[in-house]
Amino acid sequence: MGVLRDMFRRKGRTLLTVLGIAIGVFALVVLGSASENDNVYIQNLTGFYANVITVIDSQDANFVGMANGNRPLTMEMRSGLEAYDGVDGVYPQVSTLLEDNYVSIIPPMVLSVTPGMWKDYLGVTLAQGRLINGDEEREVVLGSDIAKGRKLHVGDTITIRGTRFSVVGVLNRTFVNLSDSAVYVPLADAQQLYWNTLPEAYRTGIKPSDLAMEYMVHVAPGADAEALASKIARDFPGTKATGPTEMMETVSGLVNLLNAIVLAVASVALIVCTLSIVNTMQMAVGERTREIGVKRALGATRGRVALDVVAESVLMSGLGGLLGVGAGSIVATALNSAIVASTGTSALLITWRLAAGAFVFAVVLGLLGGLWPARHAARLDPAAALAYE
Amino acid sequence: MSSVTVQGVEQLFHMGKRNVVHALRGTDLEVAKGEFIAIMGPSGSGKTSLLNVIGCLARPTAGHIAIDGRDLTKLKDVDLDRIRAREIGFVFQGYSLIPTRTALENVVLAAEYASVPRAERRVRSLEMLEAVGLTDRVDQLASELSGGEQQRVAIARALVKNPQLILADEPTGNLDSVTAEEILGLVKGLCRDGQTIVMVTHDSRMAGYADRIVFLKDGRVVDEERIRPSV
Repeated sequence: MGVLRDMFRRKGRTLLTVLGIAIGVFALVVLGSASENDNVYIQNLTGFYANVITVIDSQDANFVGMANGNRPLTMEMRSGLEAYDGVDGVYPQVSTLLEDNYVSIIPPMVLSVTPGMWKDYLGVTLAQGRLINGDEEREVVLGSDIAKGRKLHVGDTITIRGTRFSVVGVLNRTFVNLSDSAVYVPLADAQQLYWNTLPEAYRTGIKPSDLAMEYMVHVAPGADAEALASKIARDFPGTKATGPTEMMETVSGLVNLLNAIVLAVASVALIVCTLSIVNTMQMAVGERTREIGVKRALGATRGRVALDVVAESVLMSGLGGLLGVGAGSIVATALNSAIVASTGTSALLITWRLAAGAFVFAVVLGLLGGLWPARHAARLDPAAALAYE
Repeated sequence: MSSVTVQGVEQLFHMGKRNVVHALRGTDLEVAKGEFIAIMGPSGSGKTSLLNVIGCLARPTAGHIAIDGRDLTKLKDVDLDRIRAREIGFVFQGYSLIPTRTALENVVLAAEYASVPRAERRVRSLEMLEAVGLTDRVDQLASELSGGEQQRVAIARALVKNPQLILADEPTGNLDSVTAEEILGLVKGLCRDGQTIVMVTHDSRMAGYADRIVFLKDGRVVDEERIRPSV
């Protein structure tokens, strides 16, 4: 209580310092929530891709067929892929953009469902309705973000590129953007939708049911996925088979960049906030020189005097941290709701890890910022401090 | 009770590179256990410097200070901190309370530094505040008390640890004469257990409360006057 009263002796100065810390932590929380969103995405994706080989056309540089540029493979490959030892299942995938215009890095996609595919698929669970097997017609299962963003429920209809589909299921959130913002349709419908987007010249001579954009090859536990990927690439010229390691390196590269930006912001916040606390506490120590002399005369040790200063700076930064985490969480959550509503994709995620980390970060700032003034206070000569006017 | 021995104490202060102030020049002083002495002298005579070295707030440049035979110049800083915390009660001219703490909190703080057991701190502090007549002001912030009330709190703070030596630097300097006499009467009244008191003052009336007056000039004891036999 006494420390709190000491802190507010100079209300204006203290409030400005607390506000400065709160703004720094706020920026950290909002930026961190974007990073956290992607970190959780990577974590979940890592689990999923740990035993998956992705096969695409080698001319295509896109990642897992998420963009709409893949040249199609054919369905003929499927039996060849299934013939390898150690293969648990082969799932042809066809995907298209839900809409041509989008503003998100990971846009809402229409993804195909092949019978058997749901097994271990990103750990999806149902929030409403039922899953589709993949051999139905004009039925869809929606990812949680797209359902929430477009306010769709089981029994509603959704029109995809001119074709109406019935919503039969909604998934729980997986924290994998690709899945949470996806519309899952039976393979035949996905093939037809994709076929419709192909150039006229390409369409002639190819049936929709022959099309596949990529294959997801599930590897049995214990089998060497990397060796199998190399073998597939050798056996099917013109294809690129990506094993779990390369897949995760590609995805992690994107997220590491975002993490680096967050780290840079955190570093700037660290320097600015620490200097601000040093300044405030140094002024407080200067103003209380005689008081420190009195405390020393009463028997306070140097350590005790230093502790009082550090306690005050930690309290100040802790208060700023709480405000920053609170405001950052509210703003990031509201912002994310707006992003989900407009793009169908989640972009920001507040986690306990982020909130607690940002608060601890603020407290550490207070600790660091208080050290120099505390050292100064502790080293004051008691007699000289008592004589200070 | 504590006895104080000051032997050939020199105190130099370096004010800038060339200016050296010689505050104490071979000062000698003996204070018996339970004695109340007043130190008088003109400004700059070294009164406060002498009080500071006796009170372990400054180390003398040369010479020896002993409390109950312990040579303070040979002790470490932490030992001096402990002596200040447990054995010496300070009363300053400007009250020197912590303005953001209540009267009670100011007294409790001294008890805490003196390592009074946690359970006893509050009780003993309340008793001391009652003894100085501030029962109804214990929860008042120090900054909201009058000058006389603040000095009463300062006395309660000095005495809460039951020190054997009390050092007072112009304790009535900021008070009107009536309040000043009240305060000094209070100090003497509360020190009936025989605490040793060393008080610096300009005021000869206040010095009259002491058993002996020591006169300081240019950092040396130049005269003394016995007023009454010490206890």
